[in-house]
Amino acid sequence: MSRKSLVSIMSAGLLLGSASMSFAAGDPQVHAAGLWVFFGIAIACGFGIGVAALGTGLGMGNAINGALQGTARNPEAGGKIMTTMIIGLALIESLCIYALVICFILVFKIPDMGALFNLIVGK
Amino acid sequence: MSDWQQLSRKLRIFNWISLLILAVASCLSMAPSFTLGLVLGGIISIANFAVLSRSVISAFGAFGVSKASKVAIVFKYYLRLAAMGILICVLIGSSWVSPVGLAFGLSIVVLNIIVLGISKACNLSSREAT
Repeated sequence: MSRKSLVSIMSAGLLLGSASMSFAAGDPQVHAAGLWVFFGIAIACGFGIGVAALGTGLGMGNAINGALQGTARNPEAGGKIMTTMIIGLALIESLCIYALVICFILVFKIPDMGALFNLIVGK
Repeated sequence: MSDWQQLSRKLRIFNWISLLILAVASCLSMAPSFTLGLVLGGIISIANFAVLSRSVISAFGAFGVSKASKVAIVFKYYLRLAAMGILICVLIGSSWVSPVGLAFGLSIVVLNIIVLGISKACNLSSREAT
């Protein structure tokens, strides 16, 4: 089975599981589906922000490395280089902020966490 | 004031102007939660950019010479990140603002940088052509 089809089957299962929550609240299978949704959100948020922070760190380190080398070789151009670097850093950092916003949306907005928790604990 | 300092100043002014324009447009056509998210996101991103530029300049100096202590620089950097993370968490967690509006507001600085970069590139290419 290819990776794409595995991912699509898993996501379809998650969607179906979350959609069936409201219809069958006492079913153990539904509890399991709720746990899977919870698990998926936790994995997505953890990996998402981790990968974003990794990319941002690499990009910022590369930018600062280049800027410091340029300033060391040509100190008179330091002002120009710093201004450009600050603008570049703002652009790079915004990517991590977007990832953070997406993670918060996943945690707080997409699932009804109260209903999900009740489903998992069986209330 | 050099050309690059003027560009930085222009960017700061453009940020506030575009935030104002977008806030008015959103106030007229979108829901109040979207407008609130856009305004708060814009203020957060502009403040973040201002603090970032100040801390980078104090860390490296205009000519690569550090002026502040290393501990203070690192502390300020993490304080800024933590403050922004907590603010965004509180705003999204409490359902006061629309997350889409917040994301739009957080993009204001990036959009302005892209627009200024394109305009600068167009100016340079037109100068070279003449």
